[in-house]
Amino acid sequence: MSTELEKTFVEFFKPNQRLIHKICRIYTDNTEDHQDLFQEITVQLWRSFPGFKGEAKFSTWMYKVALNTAMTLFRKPQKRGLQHTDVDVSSLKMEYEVYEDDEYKLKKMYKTIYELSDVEKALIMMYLEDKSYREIGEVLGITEGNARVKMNRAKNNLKAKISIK
Amino acid sequence: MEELELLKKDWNREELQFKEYSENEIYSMIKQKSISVAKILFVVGLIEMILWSLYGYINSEFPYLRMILFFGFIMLAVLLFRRLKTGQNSLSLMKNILNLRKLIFGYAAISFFMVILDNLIHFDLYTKDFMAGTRDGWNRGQDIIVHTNPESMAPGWGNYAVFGFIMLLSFYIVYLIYKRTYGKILSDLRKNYRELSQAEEKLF
Repeated sequence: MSTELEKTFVEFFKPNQRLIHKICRIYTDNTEDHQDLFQEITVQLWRSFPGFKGEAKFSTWMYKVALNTAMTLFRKPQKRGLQHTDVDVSSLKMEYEVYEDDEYKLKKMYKTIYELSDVEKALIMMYLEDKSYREIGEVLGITEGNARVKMNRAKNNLKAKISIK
Repeated sequence: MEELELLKKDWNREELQFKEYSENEIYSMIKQKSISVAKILFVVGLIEMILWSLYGYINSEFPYLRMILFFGFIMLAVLLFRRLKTGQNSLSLMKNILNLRKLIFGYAAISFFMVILDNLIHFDLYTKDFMAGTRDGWNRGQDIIVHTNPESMAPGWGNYAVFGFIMLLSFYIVYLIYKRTYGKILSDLRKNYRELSQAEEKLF
């Protein structure tokens, strides 16, 4: 038996799942962690749902809760043997010369985003989602101007990291 | 920034496939328990407070003061935990989690300080206790069990040094437990908080 509140929540939640998947994609690098984070975000959304006043759009509110969960409430211990230093760089370079196509570039970019800090990941994610600086500031708790500065830094940092790879 | 444009295009591709959870799967998901960092900190913190209070109670040092402290801190911790709302902005959320941790850490620090103070004030007595306990432990298993009176012990410098060393070692173990329980979680959170809370920056 499900309550009215549960029904309403699921009604709101179901069409917006894609957004949570996208956040999980940025913050995790394997399917298992992706599913764990997805579940944690869903639980947090449900816990916070009574506080959703309907003043903002559901997707905007959901965005805030989901990013907060990924940035502050979810930590998976680094698995041994899967750290980035273990990657053989020389073989990557060879591959890079041969397959310098869009797909390869994208793969490399997603990998680089995963290496950014939690806050920078959030910034890049919001850039990709075309969020305004006002919205970014609101989600993170900083001013619009500061959001602009931090966004520029995050983009430059990402670009620099990609170019040295 | 050509790469970022390419990324944006890929990001917003409609055909990007993700698993779509059914209503039943969502229902069962929201009934599951959260594993959030704040919850872990809260539970570990409560256990910590209880253990420190238990230690104080067993040693019967300042029991009333300790109990008042214990209940005061527990109430504050519950209050702070309930104030953590994922719907608020990231900076406030991080600040509240760090405040919760600060409170628990404050309680542990007070308890730790009391233990050190107690050990320093009663260093002589505890060394004698330690010697008597060691002697009784050593003699256990023999036919006649005699409890040594600590007051009959006359510790020399060597005994003080051994007891002092064991005391320091215990403090170090407590420190290591802290580092392992909270270390990484809190350092990551602090890093995020610092990154967000840097004073307003200028573009130029």
